[in-house]
Order: sequence, then structure tokens, then C-alpha cells
Amino acid sequence: MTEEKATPNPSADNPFSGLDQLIHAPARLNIITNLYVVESADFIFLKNLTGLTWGNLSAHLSKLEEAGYVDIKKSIVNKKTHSIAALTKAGRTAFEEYRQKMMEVLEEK
Amino acid sequence: MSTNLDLKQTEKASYRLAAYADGTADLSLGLVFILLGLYPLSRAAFGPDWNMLFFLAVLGLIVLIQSLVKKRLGAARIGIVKFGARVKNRVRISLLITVALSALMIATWALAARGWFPSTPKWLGSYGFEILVSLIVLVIMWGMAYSLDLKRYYLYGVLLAVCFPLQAFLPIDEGAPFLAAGAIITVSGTVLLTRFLKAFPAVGESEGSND
Repeated sequence: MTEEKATPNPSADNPFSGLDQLIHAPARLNIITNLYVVESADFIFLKNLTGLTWGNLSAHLSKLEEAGYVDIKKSIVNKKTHSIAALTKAGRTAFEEYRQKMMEVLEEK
Repeated sequence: MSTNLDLKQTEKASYRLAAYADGTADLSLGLVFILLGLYPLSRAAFGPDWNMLFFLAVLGLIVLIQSLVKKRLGAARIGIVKFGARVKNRVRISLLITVALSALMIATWALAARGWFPSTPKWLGSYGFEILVSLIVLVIMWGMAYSLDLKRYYLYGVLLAVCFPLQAFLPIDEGAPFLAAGAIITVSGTVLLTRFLKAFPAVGESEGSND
């Protein structure tokens, strides 16, 4: 009879596994935290506040938009694109849940 | 890049960037106190009634220019942000307190100018009015400094608060302490504005999206 080796279940042991991984990425967490405290902000304001490059900011905002967490409204002002981002209700709820879980995990530690 | 989960700090950082990063608020504050410093000179030139009108007109002009400059600089360099109801309410309450304290200060000033200021306790000597106004200025400035983490406003508070007792205690020209404090704050505002123009170039979204 061969004894089966017990392999650790990473998802069960890892307290961070229950966190929303879309928010957990540092750049997206930075964006979503800054959007949470305002009603809306344009890309220039978000770039200044987060310190991200245009490419990074745009890519991460697109991911958040695809997930339904962020609503982006584009318009043309003086022949230039102007985008305003705002957290959706789902985005606010997801961030509040993420924050709650994160605090629980850190308090357990 | 920081991933700050302290929402109060994040909110303050957003508000500081939108309202105070360009130094125009500092410039206006400095200019208002320079105006106060010049008050005795303009009073001698225009007479008391016209001087008040002149003072209010220049004050209005400073506020108008600040809002125009801010509007022109802000959108292109800092971006546009809309704050939620919580921040708006806090700003309204802070403004209300500032206006109430300022009204109290002006009323006290007007009463003292006409010799109607009530007698103060003996231990204060004859400087009750100056001490009261200094305290009000200190409360307004330190309140702003504390609520927004604007450390330079602690210094501004001290600078402006000492003007009133200095003028009363020392044999110096009327208005000189206000001119000095106003000049220091104006220089600070100019440095901030210069740094701001370098740190936040006017880049449109389409131009910046190539990096």
C-alpha cells in the first residue's frame, strides 16, 4: 500500500485567496481607492494622483470597465479626447467588500 | 506609487491636489494681508469711507483673478475632479465656520475702532482685542492646516496671528507686520506656483497617451 502524500491546498491556506484579484493588483487598487473618494475624475487627475503612466492607467481602467467596476465617459473637448471615470455601484460595493476582507485578514495575522 | 487604503488620507490628497497644489490660494492670502498692511496708507490717501470701498474692490479683484487663474491652470494641468457629497458638506461647514469667525473678527475690529470694545480682564491689560483677533486667525488657519494636512498653514497661522499683538506692542509703522507676513506668504505662493508649473505640464489626454 502506498501512502499518499498530503499536499497542501494553497487556496484553503492562503488568507488572500478570497480577495477580489481584479482589485488586489497594486495599480488597480491605487486607481479604485482614488476613485472611491470622489464622484468622478478625468484621466489627467487620476494620472497625477496615482503616478501611473498613460498606458498603464488606460489599460487598468479598461480592465476595471470590462468588469463593470468603472464607468468611463469619453467626449471631445477642443478637438482632444477627454475621458471621465467614475466608480459604478458594483465597483463601490466590490471595493467595500475587498477592504472589509483585507482588514479581516490583517487583523487575523 | 502608493497603494494607500487610508481613505481619509486619500480624500485629503485628492482635495489638496485640486485646491492647494498650484499655490494660488497662498498667493491670494498673501496679497490680502499685503492689502491689510497698506490699509493705513490707502486710508490716508482716500479717507476712511472710500478706503473701505477700495479695500473691498481690491479684495474682490484678488478673489476673481485667483478663480480665473485656477480655472485656466487646473483643467489642463491637474485635471478635473468632482467630489462627493461628504467632501462638499465638509467644505461647506468649514466655510461656514470661517465666515462666522471672520464676521466676529470684523465686528470686533469695528467695535474696537469706535472705542466700543468692552473692557477686558486686568491680566490682559489693554490688549484684549488684539489677543482675541489673533486667536480667531490662529483657529481659522490651524483648522485648515489640520483638516487638510497642509503643514505650511500652521506657519501661516502663526505669522498672521502675531501681526496684531506685534503692532500693538512694538513702536513700528502701522501695517508693517501685515506687510511682512503678507510678503512671506506671497513669496511662498510664488515658489509653489513655479514648482507646480514645472511639475504639472499642460498635457492633453491624447498627447500623453503615447508613452
